[in-house]
Amino acid sequence: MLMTTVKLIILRIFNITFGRTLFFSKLFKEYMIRKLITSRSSQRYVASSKFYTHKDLD
Amino acid sequence: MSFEIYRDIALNQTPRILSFLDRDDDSPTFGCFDRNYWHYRTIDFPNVRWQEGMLLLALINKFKMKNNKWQRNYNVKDWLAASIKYWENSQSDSGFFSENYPHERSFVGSSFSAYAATEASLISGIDISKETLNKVSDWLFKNENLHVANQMAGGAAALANIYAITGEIEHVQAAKSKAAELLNLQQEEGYFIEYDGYDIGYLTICLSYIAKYLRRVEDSELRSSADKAFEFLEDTIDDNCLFDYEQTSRGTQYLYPYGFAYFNRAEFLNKHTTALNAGKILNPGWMDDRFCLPLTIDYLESYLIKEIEDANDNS
Repeated sequence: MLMTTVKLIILRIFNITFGRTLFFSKLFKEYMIRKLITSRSSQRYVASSKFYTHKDLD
Repeated sequence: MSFEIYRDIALNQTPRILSFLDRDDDSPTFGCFDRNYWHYRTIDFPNVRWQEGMLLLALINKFKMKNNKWQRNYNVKDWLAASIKYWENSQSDSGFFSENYPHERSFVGSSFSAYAATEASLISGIDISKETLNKVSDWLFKNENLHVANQMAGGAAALANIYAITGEIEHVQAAKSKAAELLNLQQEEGYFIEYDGYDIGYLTICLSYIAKYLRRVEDSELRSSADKAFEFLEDTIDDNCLFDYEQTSRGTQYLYPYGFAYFNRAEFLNKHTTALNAGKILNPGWMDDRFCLPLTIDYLESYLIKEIEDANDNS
């Protein structure tokens, strides 16, 4: 899930309105953790930091 | 055992990290480590994780080391004071700090940056206001992230450091409650949970912060639980210090050595320093700016482990 201009504008509107409250801030964080971290897709590509190591040459 | 490779790598990365910092005392963001914010202006708020650079400044300014040009340098001391002040000013009214977006209430950002700020303060003698410490301590005590053990360990270490500064009983009680919650996150196999499984890199971060907590607060139960985690790690990491990171919960590839140094896990340290000397495994120089910073600090803390303990004993 890549960031886009529209998504960023919506995110910041949320951050400075509902996101200021504890309830919505926690709700949003739980959603993002589920979306980006815990429910990894079964696709071949999985987003992770992937720093270069010499194993990449094999 | 020689930890010189940790020192050499850390000091090689230091000029790079000093460039992250706004060092201009006329600048309104003097003391900010987030170059994307103060220089490139590609983001609209500073990520607090970058302020962990405070601790690097304190270490290089305080301790004598071969090739350390920054020891007792007045400019470095000014930059350190400015970066601690910048960290204090970025605190929210409720006491938390944000990492990824405004008003985030980041547990990791609050704990790790509070550990770095308080450790830098303890090393340098530069004061942090009591109000800032009380607010972050209170927030860390009332909040948690029970999915991610390394963040809980960071919270415990930060609270233990706040206790070391203030000497107030409620801060050590908060640290102990965080450590008790952390113990519940250990699994039968020995690892501490990181989002529904084990992750080698994050487990080494967790052990690094457990060691930093135990430096201030004795806890025999946590000590033996750390031993169990080391046994798990030592079974998982091979003789060349390589491991299958693709199957772990977060896929991290790095290893934080401070916990191993504190607990004197000689066999691991020997293979880790050998692999680093041979250039066979990931080190901070291979990583992006964001990840280079905390790992460089951990390397330097590992090299300076005795000096830091002596400084703590004398303070």
